[in-house]
Amino acid sequence: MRHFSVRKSELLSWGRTRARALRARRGVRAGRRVRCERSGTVALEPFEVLDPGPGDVLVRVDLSAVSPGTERAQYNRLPGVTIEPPFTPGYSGVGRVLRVGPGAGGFRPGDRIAGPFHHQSLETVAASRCHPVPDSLPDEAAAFVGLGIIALHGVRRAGIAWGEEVLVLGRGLLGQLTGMLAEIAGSGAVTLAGRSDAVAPASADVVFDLTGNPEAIQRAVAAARPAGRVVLAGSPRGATPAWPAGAAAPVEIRGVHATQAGAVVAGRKTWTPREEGDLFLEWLACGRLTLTGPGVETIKPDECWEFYRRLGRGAPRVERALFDWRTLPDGERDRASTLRFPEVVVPLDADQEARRRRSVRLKHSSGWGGR
Amino acid sequence: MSGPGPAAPGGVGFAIAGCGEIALRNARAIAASGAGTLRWAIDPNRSLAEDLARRHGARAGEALSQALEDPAVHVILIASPHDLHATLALEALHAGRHAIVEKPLARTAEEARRMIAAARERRVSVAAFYALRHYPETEAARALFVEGTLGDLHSGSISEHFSKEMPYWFGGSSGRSRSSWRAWRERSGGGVLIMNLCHHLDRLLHLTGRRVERVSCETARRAVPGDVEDVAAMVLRLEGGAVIAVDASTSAPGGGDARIALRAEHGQIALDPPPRFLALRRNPHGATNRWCALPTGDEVSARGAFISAFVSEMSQPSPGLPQGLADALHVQEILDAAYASAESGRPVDLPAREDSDARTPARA
Amino acid sequence: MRGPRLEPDASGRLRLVTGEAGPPRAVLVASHRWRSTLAGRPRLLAAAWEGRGATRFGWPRGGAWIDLETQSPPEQAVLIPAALAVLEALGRAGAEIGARVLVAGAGLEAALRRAAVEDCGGRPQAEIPGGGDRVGLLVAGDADASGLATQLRGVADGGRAVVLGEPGEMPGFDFYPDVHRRGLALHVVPPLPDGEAATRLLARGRARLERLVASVAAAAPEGFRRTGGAWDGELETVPAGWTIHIKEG
Repeated sequence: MRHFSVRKSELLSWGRTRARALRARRGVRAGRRVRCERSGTVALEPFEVLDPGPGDVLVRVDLSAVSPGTERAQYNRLPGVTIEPPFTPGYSGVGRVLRVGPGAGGFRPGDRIAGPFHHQSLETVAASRCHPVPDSLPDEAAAFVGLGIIALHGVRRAGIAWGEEVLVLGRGLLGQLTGMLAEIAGSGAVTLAGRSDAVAPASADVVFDLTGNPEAIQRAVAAARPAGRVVLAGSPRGATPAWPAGAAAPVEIRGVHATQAGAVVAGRKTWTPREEGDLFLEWLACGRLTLTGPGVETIKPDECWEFYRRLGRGAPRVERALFDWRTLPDGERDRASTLRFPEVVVPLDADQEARRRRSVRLKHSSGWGGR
Repeated sequence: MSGPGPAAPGGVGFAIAGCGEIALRNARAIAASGAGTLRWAIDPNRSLAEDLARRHGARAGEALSQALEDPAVHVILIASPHDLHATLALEALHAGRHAIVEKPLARTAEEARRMIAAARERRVSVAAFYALRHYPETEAARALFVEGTLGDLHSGSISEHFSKEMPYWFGGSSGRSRSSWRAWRERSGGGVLIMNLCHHLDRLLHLTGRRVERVSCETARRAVPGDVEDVAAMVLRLEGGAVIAVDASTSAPGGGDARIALRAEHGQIALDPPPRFLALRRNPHGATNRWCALPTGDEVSARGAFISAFVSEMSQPSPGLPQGLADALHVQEILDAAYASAESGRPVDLPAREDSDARTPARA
Repeated sequence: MRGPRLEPDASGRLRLVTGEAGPPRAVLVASHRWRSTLAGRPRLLAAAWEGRGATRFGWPRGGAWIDLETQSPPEQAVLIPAALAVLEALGRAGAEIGARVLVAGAGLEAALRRAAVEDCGGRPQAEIPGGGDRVGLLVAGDADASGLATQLRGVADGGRAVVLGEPGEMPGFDFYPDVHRRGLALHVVPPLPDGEAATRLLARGRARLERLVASVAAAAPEGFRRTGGAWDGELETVPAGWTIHIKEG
């Protein structure tokens, strides 16, 4: 005879979603998402979204891009990370429009769009934050639009003048994109340096630090020419140790974060993330930017925990990776769910069943002090 | 620096040095014990100190010296990273305060001996906070051994495997205090052996009253972003010939239930949930020839009981080494031997009991 | 030229060792309390001598001694190098006319920074604001990591901060929450200028600079210590902040 447990949280979540759907007069759709439910634990779990409201689109996500530095820091819960479990990681992907809400910025069902998608098979998102994907651009490139916006924002904030020499600390995808964009912006020479590469002191006008390593800031400052600038585009994880004595040259350390995009005024223009993303995709499509380097690793969503454990350890290094939602059966990826009843009663697993049987046997025996 | 003032009954003043996750539980235990009040929360990270202080109406500080200047502080509870245990304990003991040190007592037996010597010189008490001793199932299991119900100990198995993922190594289980000290031997003294198995070693000594004579150990590092071990397996030979197999790891996906069993001539004890015993002889605690439940309790009560017992003992110092402290020192000796064995690939013998009166025999 | 310097004697007390130019009339000494130490770490920032028709003043920089002249009296001349460093830094950070600038702290050091901000057309304020009142620019002196972090919270997202000090004196500074996350630009500049920058700025506004340092002297008289007689080599223990020691007679 099998025994079961009742998932109260599932029941509550089901009820709340339907209450929201009733208030908003929208349907409910079910999909799958990568979820960090507890610190260090990641699982693929079912979840629900509402159909799109005014200005929104519902997207069936095909590929979602991994941001290795950010997601490794979130999974490892490094200093500076404020997001706490439970959360769904990811912020960049590509997919097809399933449904559109009223006033959804000219998108139609079937359109291929890129946007700030989490690692999940469905996403309801504001159309104003999404980008149409040029026909000639493959999904595997368009999925990285979120990282492209970060790189563009960083280069824009650096204010590279024609002919300036640029050093990029960090050879990952963001570093490579930053280097390419610095060249497009007019830099006279761009150098990429990894952790073990030697860097000459006072050798660059602009130094981008994309490492996320608090100790690298010292390296960046030493590499900047007097009155040069360090652009802190990677999130440093922890406090910087004491700087070397004599590091007294005047230096500017300019912080850059994606949440400040839309605040950079260049001339009279303020660049929004939507405009940055459109520009990035356009340059990718025409070949002005290329995603070079080793091939992309595609991850099956149900192997997400194994992937994050590997990402957390940092070995082997993850450079470019995509969750491939097309590998899920259609019924799991996306289905109508308004009238679905929740699965709240589930059988005990083998461990739970063994413990339950032991407890029952002891109950029938005597307790401490009895006979 | 001023010494402590006299403590009114129930008015013993505590200071906690190190306000990470375990400090929260210790502060609740101090309140639950009724033996005293938390007066200071000390941590170089001021926000952690202020958070703990706010929860318990205490004062916050960044250096232990601030608490030692307050004559209303009598006991320092040290819950810092392991490399600071000796430094902070010695500072407290030299200032005439009693000290409770979170497990393990120190990184090595040599550090532990220095702390014990300082306490004896200043005539104050020091203890290692091995709370498992005060769980109801431990006390009940010990009674079975002491009374002789189970007979001579033959063998034992201690097995515990955790899923300590990367976030643990950068900030502990809760992430309250983000530091990678646990991953580096210089700071922590080691990995799963000293961090987790020390609890079980202490409880083994407490239950059986037997010293460990020989240690054979193998360790490995598989998934730690540092230099400590995350896999360990030991075989211990106890006085009287019992053999205990111990294994643990922190890199087991999904973790697993602990398995803790001690097998004796006339029965056995299992301390994994639900704790239980089986005795072939009649006894006042349960039926013969079948598994019976041991009483259970919660962590805060157990920690509170430890604190109450410490406060009682500290005001009535004994001439010899208190049993708990002798066991805590022996745990350090076992750990030193285990690491030495893992490094050399050979079993390590431990010195015989120096003072046969220092331990209470386990059997009546 | 080998300039004057502070050196500890056998008992650890600081003495002024006069250099090749002989005993100065005034010296500016800075010391600061750190969280990790109980005593300050005094440094000589500048010295000045009375001369015929002009005051000679100088300061240490990069192991050398830089020497210039001014019409200001010695107790004001010793403020000129630090004033030049602030003005140079404000030029780099882009101080705007009428903008509110956070200059926290008290004493001679803060008074000098506030005077320099006003001289660039800014409006200095001492209280650290919050929320919508945060400012676009901070001018901070030597501060430990914790003090600097507190002051940075008064700067609006995307704002700028000028830190006059040695980067090596701010260990444990976390760049993430303010500089990186809120897009601030942190300008770390030496507290004393190099010779080329000083000469250039003096040529542009000597008279204006001399009026600036005169106003600082009037604003923070508590920072001045006047004693008689010659330098006997020993300086009394200085409290945290800046002090101008003047020998009279």
